[in-house]
Amino acid sequence: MSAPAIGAGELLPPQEEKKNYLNVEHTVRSWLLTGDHKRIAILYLFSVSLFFMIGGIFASLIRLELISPSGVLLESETYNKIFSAHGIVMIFLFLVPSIPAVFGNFFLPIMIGARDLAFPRMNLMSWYVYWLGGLLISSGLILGGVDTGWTFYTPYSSLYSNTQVSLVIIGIFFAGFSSIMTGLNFIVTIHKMRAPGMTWFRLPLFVWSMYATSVVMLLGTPVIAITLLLVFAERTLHLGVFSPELGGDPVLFQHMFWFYSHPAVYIMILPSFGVISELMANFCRKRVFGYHFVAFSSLAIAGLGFLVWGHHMFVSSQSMYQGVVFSLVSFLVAVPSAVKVFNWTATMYKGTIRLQTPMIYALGFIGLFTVGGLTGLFLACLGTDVHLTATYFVVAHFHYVMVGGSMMGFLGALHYWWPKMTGRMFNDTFGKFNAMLVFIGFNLTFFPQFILGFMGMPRRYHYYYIAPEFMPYHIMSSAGASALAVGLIAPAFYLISSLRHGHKAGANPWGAHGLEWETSSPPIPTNFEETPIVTDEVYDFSAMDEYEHRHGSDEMAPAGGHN
Amino acid sequence: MAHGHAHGHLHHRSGPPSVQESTFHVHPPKMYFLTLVALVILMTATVVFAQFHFPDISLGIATLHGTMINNLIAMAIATAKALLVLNFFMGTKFATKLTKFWALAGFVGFSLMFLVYGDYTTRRYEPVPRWSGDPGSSLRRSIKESRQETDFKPYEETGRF
Amino acid sequence: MASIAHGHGHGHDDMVVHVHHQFENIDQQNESYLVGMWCFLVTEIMFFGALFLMYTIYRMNYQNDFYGAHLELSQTASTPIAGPLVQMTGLKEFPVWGSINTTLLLISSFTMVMAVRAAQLRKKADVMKFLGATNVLAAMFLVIKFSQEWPPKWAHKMVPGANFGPEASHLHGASPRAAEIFYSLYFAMTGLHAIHIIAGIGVITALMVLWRKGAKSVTEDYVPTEMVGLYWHFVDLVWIFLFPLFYLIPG
Repeated sequence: MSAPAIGAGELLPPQEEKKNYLNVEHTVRSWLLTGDHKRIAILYLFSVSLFFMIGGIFASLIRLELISPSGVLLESETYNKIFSAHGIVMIFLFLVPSIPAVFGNFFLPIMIGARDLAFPRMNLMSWYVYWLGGLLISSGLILGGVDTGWTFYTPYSSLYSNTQVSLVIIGIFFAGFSSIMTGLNFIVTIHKMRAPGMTWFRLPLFVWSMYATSVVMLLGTPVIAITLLLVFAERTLHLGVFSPELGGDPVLFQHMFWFYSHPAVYIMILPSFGVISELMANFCRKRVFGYHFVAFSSLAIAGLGFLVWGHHMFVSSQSMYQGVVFSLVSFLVAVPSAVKVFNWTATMYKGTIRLQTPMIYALGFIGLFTVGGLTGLFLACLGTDVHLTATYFVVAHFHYVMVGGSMMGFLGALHYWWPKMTGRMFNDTFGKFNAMLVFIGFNLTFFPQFILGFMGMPRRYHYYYIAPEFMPYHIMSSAGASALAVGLIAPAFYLISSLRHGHKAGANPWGAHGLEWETSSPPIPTNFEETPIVTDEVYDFSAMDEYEHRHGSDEMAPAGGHN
Repeated sequence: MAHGHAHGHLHHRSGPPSVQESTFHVHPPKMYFLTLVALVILMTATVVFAQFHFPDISLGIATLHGTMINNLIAMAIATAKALLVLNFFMGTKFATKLTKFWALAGFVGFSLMFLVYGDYTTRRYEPVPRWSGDPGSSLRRSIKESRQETDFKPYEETGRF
Repeated sequence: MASIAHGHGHGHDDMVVHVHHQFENIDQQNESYLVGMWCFLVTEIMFFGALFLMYTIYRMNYQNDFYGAHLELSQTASTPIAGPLVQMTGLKEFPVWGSINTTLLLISSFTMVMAVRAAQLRKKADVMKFLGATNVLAAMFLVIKFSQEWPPKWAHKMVPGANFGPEASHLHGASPRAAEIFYSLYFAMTGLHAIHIIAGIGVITALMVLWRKGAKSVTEDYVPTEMVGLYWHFVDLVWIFLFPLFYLIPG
């Protein structure tokens, strides 16, 4: 057989399609009953993207409503349901599962050199349970929604609200179980299934953050499960523990709710931290500065994150002395996050920085997360929190960390690992332009909200005609939201189109370091032909270059991609 | 019939690396039976101790209420029972470090929730006109003190819940 | 996909064991399953733990009322079987049914661990015997709870909700509002516990069916039985703490 000549611009000699996890079987059954963690990750990718779009529709309605000071688009009741729906869908059905269930599922086993996760069938079940939760929540929303906010404060949610609280709560209950199953799987996998030579301190930082996230999922989610179950019992069986009429304490609900929901925000951001560590290391071609510090800071955030929930309750009649304790620990928990940001920035020093799409997202993350984190300090401080709580300042703060942080991490991961997952490279120019659009649109949307909050615009209000001076800021915010919406929808288009029109990607199109870049793109069903034996230290680019220099690389893509 | 510490064996495929055997300890029934006996004894003890009403002990600045002593004894016995079940029935005593770590982690995580106590023990209520004299239900009262209020009177009579 | 491996003949111990494709050897598989089960139990600890926390907070605030309300759990004078017993001993605060239930669960824990031991020794008859005993004891627990403990509460209007309205003799000095909280917690916690017992009976039955059929996944590998055992012991553990907290409140 004569080997055909390699054409200019082609990275691989044309050959028969190798069997990979995508084309090994084509039936629907093989997808819906798969045990392969990579297929489950793709299933999750479709699911979370769908729910993201739904949550985005709610967000658009909110921003449209707030253009006018007197709230002409929606009635108060409806607006309450819309922002509740936005919060519930975005948090429980998108942010909590996003990076762990998609990229954790796909890459955790590959990064540690395993053939699959520890419990593949439980992995599949977690996807089905996620859909059960998603369908229940969606039916609840279709049948009228809830108007309690995503926080379900009692006694409104348990006694007085006439909306679909019970149905949505059961949905959230199941969605929580889905995340518990994922976390459990990850923990056992990381402990027991690392390849020979893959010691703890050779693990990529993404794996460390997945571990920390899974610990938080495991310890925190059952608490909200039981709390919401009690609200459900209070609604249906009148088994009251949160009602003052019965001698109960509604603040206890808040304690229990936030005991999970604060660690939940760390569930949402820790995976993103892991992604940024990967992006920083690989697009600066340099070992992450202070690897051990970054690894331990993930664990510190996971641990300390369980001790700060009271900062959501400073004005709830919680004891003032307790408030002081929570405020202090909230300041402490900012330290490990700051350590990470400093270390990423230090990684860039004397690195070989390549400004490709994933790096734009990573740099955007660092800027936006820093702003979000710093504004969190205003809220952690008891005195200023009294002024700022329940205003748009809080809204802006958490959107900076959630969207500017977590979402940018998701998009960065999506672009970074797209060629590995699909075997196709997307158009990097589109990608870079889109990243800038997201960054600009995001800032235009949420920065005015800091000012609004400081000026006194309350959260969850749809009219502000008593303060028409807020209007210009709201208009800026909504204009930015339009740009942001375009930037968040566009990847669907150019990424999906790359499946057909994009260049085939080789094993390592970015020249990155990691076990996942030593398998084919897309990977074969068992990830590796043979179990790898790890001898490199993590992010050891010099060893990588040395190896390629001696052996020659067969599919080393030029740094600029295929342009 | 099992005798003493028997060993079980499981075989598996002889692929890479080399063939390994798994061995695990089979414990004698006597160990389990003795654990059960200890558990039942402890249970009886906890019921017996619950019948005693310990007197309050004054320690100068504070008093150690009799009920507190009851609570401590009951929780100590419950903890002892729990440790017996954990170590012998659930096998943590003979398990790997990883298993012990996760068993412990569960209880550590559980204890984190008790930070909520900081709120409920340090709350102070502002005096409210109609409720003056009521120290607020969130502050601890001794059982004896509250026993001095005789029978339950409805809200309409006392103006208090 | 599971791969069934055949071992070399070692005396009479020629067994086949499933080693799933993602694992390298049986040790890794066993420990992974057991650690995984422990992680699940960690979530259960947090699940019940939140309820325990709520209970302790309310008990701290309503000590006297909880004492009074809990006496009803011991006052079984009205039930035909335990009533005379209580009257004989003269102990007002002796929880007859609670103690019996606790003993049943402790014994069921013993029979469960014996079943696991029999599984390790591959003694199918013993496994069936002990698993069956566990189920019977668990069923007795539920029968006592749902016939002797809960129905009288409903009859005396002590179930929280629209129907709550007990007489003073059943309150023993507790305020009705605090008693309602006590009973809400009581039904929530013992109810959740009972749900776990019912689920446990289901799982043990399924295990028994597999053993009876001689399914290799359980007869050749003791780990599934051990995992069910761990779950069952956890259920017992919860009851070990529920018992003194609800039935033995000091006053």
